[in-house]
Amino acid sequence: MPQPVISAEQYSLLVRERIAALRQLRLGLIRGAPQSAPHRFFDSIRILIGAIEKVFTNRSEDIKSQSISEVEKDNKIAFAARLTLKLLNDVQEQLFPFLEKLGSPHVPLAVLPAMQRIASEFETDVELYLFPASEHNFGFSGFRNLTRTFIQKFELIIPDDLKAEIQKEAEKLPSWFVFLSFPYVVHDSALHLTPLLHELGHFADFERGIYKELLPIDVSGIEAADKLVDKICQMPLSQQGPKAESSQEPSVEARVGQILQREVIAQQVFAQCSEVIHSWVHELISDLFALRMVGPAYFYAFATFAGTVGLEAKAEKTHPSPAIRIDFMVKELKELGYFSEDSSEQVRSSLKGWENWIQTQKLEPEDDIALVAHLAMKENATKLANAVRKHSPQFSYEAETFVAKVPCVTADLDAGIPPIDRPSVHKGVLEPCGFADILNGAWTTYMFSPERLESLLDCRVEERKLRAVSVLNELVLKAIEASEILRRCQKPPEAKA
Amino acid sequence: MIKSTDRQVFSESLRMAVLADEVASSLRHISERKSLEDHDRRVIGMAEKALAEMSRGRDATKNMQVEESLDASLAYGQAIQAIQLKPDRFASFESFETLVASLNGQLKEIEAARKFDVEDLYEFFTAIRELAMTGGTRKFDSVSVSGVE
Repeated sequence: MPQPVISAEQYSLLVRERIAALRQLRLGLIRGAPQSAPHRFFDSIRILIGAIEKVFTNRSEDIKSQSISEVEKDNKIAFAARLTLKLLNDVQEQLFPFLEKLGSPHVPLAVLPAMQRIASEFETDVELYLFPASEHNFGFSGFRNLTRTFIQKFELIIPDDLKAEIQKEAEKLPSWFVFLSFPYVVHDSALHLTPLLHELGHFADFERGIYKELLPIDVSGIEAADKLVDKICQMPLSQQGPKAESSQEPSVEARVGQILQREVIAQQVFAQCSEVIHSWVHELISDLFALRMVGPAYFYAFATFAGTVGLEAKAEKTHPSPAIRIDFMVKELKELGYFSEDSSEQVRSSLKGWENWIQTQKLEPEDDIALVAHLAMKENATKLANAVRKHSPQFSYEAETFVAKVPCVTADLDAGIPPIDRPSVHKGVLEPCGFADILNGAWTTYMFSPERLESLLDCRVEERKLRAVSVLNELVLKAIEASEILRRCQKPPEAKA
Repeated sequence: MIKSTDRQVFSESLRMAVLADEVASSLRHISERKSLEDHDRRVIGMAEKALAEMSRGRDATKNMQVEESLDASLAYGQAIQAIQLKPDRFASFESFETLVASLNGQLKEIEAARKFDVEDLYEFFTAIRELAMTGGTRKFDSVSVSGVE
């Protein structure tokens, strides 16, 4: 056995250096963090770095005490150090980014309490933060039982006393840390922050395990999957594999299937299909979840967002195409009564427009793997919708609710008033406006009746439309924030008696 | 497009690397001592679970069932690559099932302290360890430039 090319001692030093640097970095970030920062997330990182360090020290000492050759010891310590560096890389890359923008002025604190309240309907032991991103998209990053997961994954190399120590230290940590990211360019737009509800849908999905109702998904009946394996097996080497090294070897005529076993190809194709199907299941569940939570407001927010990044975009590995998603959502809105005669005429008419648009779209993806995922989703569409409905009984923003509650919100907004509260059934008591009602009022005003708000503004004609959108967003953010404060302050009438 | 991630902080590959390293290390000790300690028994148990996971991944692929977790699919993929990495050692096995059955049988013999023939198992798990450690697509640097032809 040769000596490791980078000595065990050098490797060990690299580990110590990295640990010291990460600790220093963490302390610096804590010093600059505002009071609203996720302090318990900082604690989790401290515990993890400490645990990784102890595991490495323990392993190194254990290896040194073994009765094996010095070269073997060096190799084992070098391996342990490489592994430790990988763990530290993971902490650095996966966790530290969330500590870097804590003091950003672009965190929409006005919507944070509402998001936290909705998240706590699924799990009370959750800490949720909003994270501004420069890229124009939204994101969900959830960490459940951060330290416990570390112990479970690496139980073989963590001594029992250290496991107990980590668990004791982690007692005060929440079950979940959730970071919802958003494009910071829309930080002051209540309208364009609405897709955050899709990200909350991911939280509900993972916390409740909604996706588990869908899986396993049998794709054996989907001919396209088998055909894809056949297609790759029949593919000329020049298209798929490396070029033949000598002219004597068969090149164009050679078939990949003759060289690679069908089993290997099937594994690779199926692994890719599985990954895509998993991603799509999560995305469609989150769409339907957000839709049931706030009805048309999410639909319009998604369609507008998709419009800015590509409404005709093709399906990706991570996401179905906007057309496929809109198709799912329109069907769910129909289920919620938005196509019935009693629903809002404006909403009904616009949704019919979207339904017609879907007819013009080719929903079947051209990409083979995306096609398999699309067919799998199509086969399981009813199951998917039922799973979301089953897990979100408290969220069902039906057309009837929309008709009953949104017009008074819209009336406030049209008059330039933030829709914070409204009379309750108890005489003389005002109740906070619902979050979903406010968002729907905002989108209705934005989509169908911006003129009334515009007419209130005293500014140049060419600036009026943009200024009205800005005022609308200010009114809505104020309403979301103030109604949430009112909700927290106001005791239920029965508790007062 | 709306991006959503639920990446694991510590990858499944890394977990597999640790497991495979522990298995290889235990097998080496067992073969030298011709006996098992408590830790070895735990490790052998985990090795059996890993083989079972690989088989589950194989079954899911064969039956085209997209499972709740992708871990079994990953484990099966790594097992196939391990076989490809050491063809001299594993080419004689007729199929994946035969190989896994043989490795399982060897683990049972070791667990019962009847035979201490560890070579196939050692080769298999060291291959898994190498693959798991080199997994991922880490870039050494990222380059971005504009205004230059």
